[in-house]
Amino acid sequence: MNKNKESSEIVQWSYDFIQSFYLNNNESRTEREMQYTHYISPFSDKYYSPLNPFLIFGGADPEQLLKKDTWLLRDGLIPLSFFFKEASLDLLAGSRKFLVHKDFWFLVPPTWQKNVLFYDVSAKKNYGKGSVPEKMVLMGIANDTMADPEEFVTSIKDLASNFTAKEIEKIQIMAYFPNKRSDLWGKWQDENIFKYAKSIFENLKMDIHFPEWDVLKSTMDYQNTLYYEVNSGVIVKDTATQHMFLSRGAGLLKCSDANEKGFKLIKTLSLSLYHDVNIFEFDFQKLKAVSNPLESDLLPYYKKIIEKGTSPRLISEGWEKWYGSYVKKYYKNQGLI
Amino acid sequence: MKKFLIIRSNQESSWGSCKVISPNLQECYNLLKGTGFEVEYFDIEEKFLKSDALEDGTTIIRLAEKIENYKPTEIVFSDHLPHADDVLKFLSFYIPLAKLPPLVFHVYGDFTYHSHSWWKLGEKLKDHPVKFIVASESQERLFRSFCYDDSTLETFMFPVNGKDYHFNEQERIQIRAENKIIDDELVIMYAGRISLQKNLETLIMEYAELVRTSDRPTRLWLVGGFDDMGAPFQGVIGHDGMMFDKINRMIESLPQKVRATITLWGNQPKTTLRKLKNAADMFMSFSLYHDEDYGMSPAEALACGLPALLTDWGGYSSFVSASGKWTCRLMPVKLTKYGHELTVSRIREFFDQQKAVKSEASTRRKNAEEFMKEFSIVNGAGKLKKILNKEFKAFSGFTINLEYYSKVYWSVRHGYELNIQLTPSDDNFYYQVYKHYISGKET
Repeated sequence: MNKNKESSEIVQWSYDFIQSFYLNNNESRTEREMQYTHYISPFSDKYYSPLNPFLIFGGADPEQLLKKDTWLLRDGLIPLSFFFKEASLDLLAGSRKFLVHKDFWFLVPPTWQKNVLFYDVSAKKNYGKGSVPEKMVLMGIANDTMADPEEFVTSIKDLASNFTAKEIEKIQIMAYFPNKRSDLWGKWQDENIFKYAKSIFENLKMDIHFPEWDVLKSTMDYQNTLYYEVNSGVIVKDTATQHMFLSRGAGLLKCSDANEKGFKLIKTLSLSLYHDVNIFEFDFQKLKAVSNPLESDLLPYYKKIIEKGTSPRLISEGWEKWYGSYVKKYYKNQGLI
Repeated sequence: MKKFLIIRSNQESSWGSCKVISPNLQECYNLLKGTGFEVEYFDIEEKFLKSDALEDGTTIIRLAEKIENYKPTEIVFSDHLPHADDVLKFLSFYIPLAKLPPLVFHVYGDFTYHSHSWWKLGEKLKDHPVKFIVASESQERLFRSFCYDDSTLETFMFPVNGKDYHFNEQERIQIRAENKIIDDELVIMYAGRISLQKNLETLIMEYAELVRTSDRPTRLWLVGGFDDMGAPFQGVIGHDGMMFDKINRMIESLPQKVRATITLWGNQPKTTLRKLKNAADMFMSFSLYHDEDYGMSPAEALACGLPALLTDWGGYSSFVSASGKWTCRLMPVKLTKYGHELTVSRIREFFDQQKAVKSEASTRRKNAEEFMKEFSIVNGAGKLKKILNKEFKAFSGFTINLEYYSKVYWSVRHGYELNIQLTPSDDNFYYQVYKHYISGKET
């Protein structure tokens, strides 16, 4: 904005904003649509924060990481594993800081530790026992190639355990579980969408609305609403959907402070009137990973999951093997699930 | 006896102002019942085609049957969605459009957003008797610039519901006490979407300057949700969180003394909004939004008797009282080759004027009442009746400019790229369209 003497000013919105975006829009739509992030939209949609949120395997040129000194990595377990295994420390690190979700502290190799801080997202309003919301938005990744049906049920049961049946009856529940966008990940019959829906009905109630995404997205006020996301964070951890709902007033489920050992809060940054991102340092001496997914022989194979043009059938089979045996076991050993 | 069939959406609009406008407008139509008008409604889903696909495809057939049986003398499209073009396109499978009675369309701010649909509708309606009803003088000028002739065009400013918005002294006392506002303290208020094109940047920076030099304690209240739609004409595509960060950082950059006087209230229900408006002393909105055809939030502030300073942009200029029955001043806007130019010195002038006027409850109440004489639902019904009683004229179609506009706008919205023809300036297509949003009224 340029001041014009004393009495008037020219309003130019564009230019400072264009500068502030971390991603340019030069990539062609076709190319973008081929990325796996497209298939987990809207979770993988872009959002803005001064910490430069970034999906490493979101289709952008990794060299873009050289453009800023701080990046918040939104990716989940698998993409992060590849990042730390394959990204060039010499090229990228320097004085640059990468923020990794604190659930994934164990993925950070010793060589990267000085360049990594951790984050989590917190809402100013939390719901749970003794604090019942008027509404609830239930979202999540519900297909067998990206989520585990058993874990889905567990997650819904955990949610239900926070409220009595009477309380659940009074809550207006809206659910949205996006389907696959094409058969890239397998045919629609593989999705077991009925199985997922059944567990919601069984554990919560039958009276659940399933609005379209457009309706949820265009509603600007989510105060007195609990946002609950069924997402184990294997593909994407920091979702745009969570930010959208929280920034419009929604709250999260109260959680315990377990697994906080080793973390020291160093800064809290407001992302909206209703939610923050917390930045932590981690003392790697206090808690050491007992095993590391980076050492898995399967790692190169699973890279295919996030590469375009991979045969759908291979992905589904591979996924079962990886997720069913290795990752889940690892998480259980860590006491994280 | 005129028989109106009003086609309306069966769900609440996702657009904040339309949530209020639609029921108020329907109230006006309801008041016409029994005064030479018969009114019936036909409810339709915004996405009726999708729901029809799931439910045996009956919506349009039911509408056709309703028209056949009810035999309306006029059909009214009262909501912005579903778009009339979609409805008429499918209705024409069952009833030739030429056989339909005269059609009335209430045109909203999204006329430009849906310009492609309006262009297609215009092609269908050539020579058909129609009335397009827009919501302000400036929108009338803009709409007219896309028409071959303006004989089918009417202006009807949306009414305000006096039950929801009025001056209440007790509420003023209560809210000021709760917020520890001392007697001579002034509260400047903005209410509405906190969106890039609403130009809050100017308000905050100029407010900071006012406070720095003011001899009266002053506060700024910003009420409304953050909206990241960006500024498509400027190539700014919004992402969630962008506006909050921008406004938050701007406020944090101010001296602590000033920062402490600014409150972000977020979204508020209408009762709280009315109370806040009653507690405030002046309303300011410097919007330069490209679809600002009306301005429901300033209208509601004026209904609470608040003096208002608004940009001379879009529908805002229609709120000025020529005879000074209420206080609404305009901040002049010019389009230059660099973009919009605002005469920001008007802020201090307005602030000083209002500072000198003691905010008496009797004055506030009188201003509110005078405003509502013009903008009440009852008065609106009377105005609407006059419009509806006017003779219908055959539509001669939209000019080719609308097709051009819709194509360029489409490319901006979906192509994520700047278009030099739609960037605010004084020598391009944007100017040809949006010069109509500037009234040049002296206030």
